[in-house]
Amino acid sequence: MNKWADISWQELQRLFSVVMCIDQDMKIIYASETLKNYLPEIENNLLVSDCFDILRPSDLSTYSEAIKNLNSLCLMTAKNEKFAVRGQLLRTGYDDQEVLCFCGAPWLFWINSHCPDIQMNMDDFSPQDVQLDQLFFMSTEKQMIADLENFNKELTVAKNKLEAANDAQHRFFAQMSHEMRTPLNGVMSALSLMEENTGDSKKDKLVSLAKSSSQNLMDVINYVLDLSKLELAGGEGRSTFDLMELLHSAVKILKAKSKERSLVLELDVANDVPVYCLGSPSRLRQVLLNLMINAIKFTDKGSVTLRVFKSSEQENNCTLQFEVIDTGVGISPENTELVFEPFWTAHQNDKTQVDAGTGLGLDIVRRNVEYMGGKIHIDSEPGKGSRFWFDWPTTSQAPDEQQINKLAPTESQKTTYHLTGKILLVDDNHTNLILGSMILESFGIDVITAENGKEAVSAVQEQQFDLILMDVHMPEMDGLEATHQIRHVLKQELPIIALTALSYDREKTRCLESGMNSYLTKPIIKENLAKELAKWLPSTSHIEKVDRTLKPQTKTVGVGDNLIDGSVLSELAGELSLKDLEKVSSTVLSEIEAHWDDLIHASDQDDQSSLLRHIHSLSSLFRSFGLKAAGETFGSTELCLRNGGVLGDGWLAKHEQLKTDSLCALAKELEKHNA
Amino acid sequence: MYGLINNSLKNMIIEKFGDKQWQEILSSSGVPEDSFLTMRSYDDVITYQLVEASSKVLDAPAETCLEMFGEYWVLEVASKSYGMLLDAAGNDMAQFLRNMNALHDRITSTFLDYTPPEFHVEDGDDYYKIHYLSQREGFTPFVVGILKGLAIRFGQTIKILDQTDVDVETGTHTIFNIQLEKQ
Repeated sequence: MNKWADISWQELQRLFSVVMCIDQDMKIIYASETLKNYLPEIENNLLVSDCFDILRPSDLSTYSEAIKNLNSLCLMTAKNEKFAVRGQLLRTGYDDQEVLCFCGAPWLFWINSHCPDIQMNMDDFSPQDVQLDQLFFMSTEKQMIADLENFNKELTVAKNKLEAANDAQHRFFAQMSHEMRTPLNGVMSALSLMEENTGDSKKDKLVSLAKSSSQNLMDVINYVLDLSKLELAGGEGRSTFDLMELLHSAVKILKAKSKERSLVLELDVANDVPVYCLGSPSRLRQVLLNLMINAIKFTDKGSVTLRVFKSSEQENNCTLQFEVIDTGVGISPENTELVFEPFWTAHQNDKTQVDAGTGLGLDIVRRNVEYMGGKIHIDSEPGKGSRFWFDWPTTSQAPDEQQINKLAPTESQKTTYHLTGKILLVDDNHTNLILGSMILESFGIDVITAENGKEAVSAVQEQQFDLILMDVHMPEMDGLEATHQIRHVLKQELPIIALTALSYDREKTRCLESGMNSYLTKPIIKENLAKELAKWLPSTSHIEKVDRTLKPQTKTVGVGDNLIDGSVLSELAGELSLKDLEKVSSTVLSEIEAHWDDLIHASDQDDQSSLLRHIHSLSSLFRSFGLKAAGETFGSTELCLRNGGVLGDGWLAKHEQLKTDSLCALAKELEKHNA
Repeated sequence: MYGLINNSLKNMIIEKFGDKQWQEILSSSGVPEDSFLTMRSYDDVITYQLVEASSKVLDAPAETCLEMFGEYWVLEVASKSYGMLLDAAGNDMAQFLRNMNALHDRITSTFLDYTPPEFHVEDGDDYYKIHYLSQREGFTPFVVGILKGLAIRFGQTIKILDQTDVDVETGTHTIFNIQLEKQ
């Protein structure tokens, strides 16, 4: 090296805040101000290795080794662990001798991380040193991440709010559709009666117009209700179910309808279709019924066939194809894409003589199929018929124990359930207690009854039960509170099954949250009750041939048809002796009248809680005897009050009229069974 | 202007006046975004619109709003999010003022496409002459708020003896004569 650089030590220190001069013995013979501030001992001409631990490069023990590493980054931490430097070595001269010069800066990240109490100052770094800039960048990056996390939270909250608002809207539509159906039923029934009695052709036309218009309105309301239910249910409702039973029952429901139109209704199921599948049975049933009803409606002669086969399979997962094939009027090619659009009707486009309805059924079908993960298609030829088909992805399942025990009854067989155990039946309604006890006793179960939650809690304290059937809404103490006490105060783990007239998800959630194990809606259907009990009690079941013919279900026409579901009473008649049926009927009639008197009194006194209780009891009683219109109307009124709604003028008179009509319909139905 | 300025303005309004007032300001400003990303560059117009709307909704002069924001910026935003950098810039007001320009030089190297202001400080014993130069207009009250906020941070009292606007073709050049006293 012939010539030393012309750069002065002062100049170097402007560029680098840490400067050290190291002689050929590796002794530090000069240190800059920053170094002296933080490492005062450095002024004692120490060896580099006495002052620092060298992290990089690996060997800096001798001058010759150091010369080899002139292009390396040097990272050195002070022996006292209070300071660290980063920089690079260069060869230069000092007092006419060749030396090494270390040019660098405090090693900011090491100091921040290892010595948090050392406060580095901006003056400790030369302006060109990027370490402080990196600190800026890191701080802003941290802030940026915090911003994004915050955005994410805000979006989640907004999404949840939107979903809740959407749900509330659907609930509102569902509620309103439900409320609209009841008065419209009345209008339609009245029109049916008028249609029978006029004899005046001009009036007949008007009545016929009013009737078809109200039927269309009813279809629209049902559509909105279906749509709301569909949206609310989301992906819920998947369970293992017996597909064969579902297919047979769907076809059975429409047998009479197809016979009326002299059509053959066939079910064609391939052998490899699994019996038990995972999916939503109610959706599948609705889709198949809608498609078959449509097919029957638009077919004058020939047949309607429901065909099911497996279109693909991978282990337990398979896709089933469902086809509804008819020999009806068919659809022109330009319209096949349109049939699934809401409000499209055959009537407006094709010159058929069939009343095409509102054009909403196929839209619901399409939505349901898509919710189930499938897609619906149509092939059709005008005058020859149509084939509606959809694929349905499912998983074949092994039947569970209960399903094996059930051994699906056929038309000519009747299942008798034999269950053992002791059950506490809790209900504030005497009729329900009598009916419930009779059904439970017919299974072979010992029954103890209680009339409210308080009595139930006392009974559980005094006696041992295998299961409790608990009404939800009761005076003194309701079923939810009673369950809470049994679970948390008495620490009893026995199964508790809710019995309630309200079939809303919210009600179900409340029951399960209170500690109940399961949930049944009223009226009590014997088969459903037995199935539920079988899950919790030791059970055996066998099938015996029906040794008596069930009385044919009588069909009441006109107003009565909407008021009473004859099948409920027929089932009761099948299960109870005539004497028992009379006993229960007389109890229900007197209970209804008693609750009605109390309801009038509560209304006069403006006692909302008492009013609510009696409306609930009446709704429950009506449902128990198949008085569906009254059950639904009183149930809706109850829900309206529970949601803080206000009842319109004249509601009492309307409800009284409905009660009177319903009891008349019940009396007529009972006479038929007595006959 | 980087998002951190708009975001801080939003946080200040929400913290001091509530979410309802912020929503009103936002709707009155016509600014479509209601959240700003710290490191994203937004059009300066957005900041001007927000300040103008704040002045209208809070029924206070825009200068007052900006001064309040300047104080909030030092005491809440910078101290919490950039505490280490503020600490590095000085242990007292005098040192901080001397480093203020170096701080903004570094900001320029980190926040690309951003033109931060320049500060030149001529100091005496307790008297300082601070030159504030910016390519933007209308932010002098924000600098006043920052100076007042810094004085609070360092436990000192500041007196702005006078404030002169120098005639420039574009942007702003303001000279502050200030006096510092220990509290």
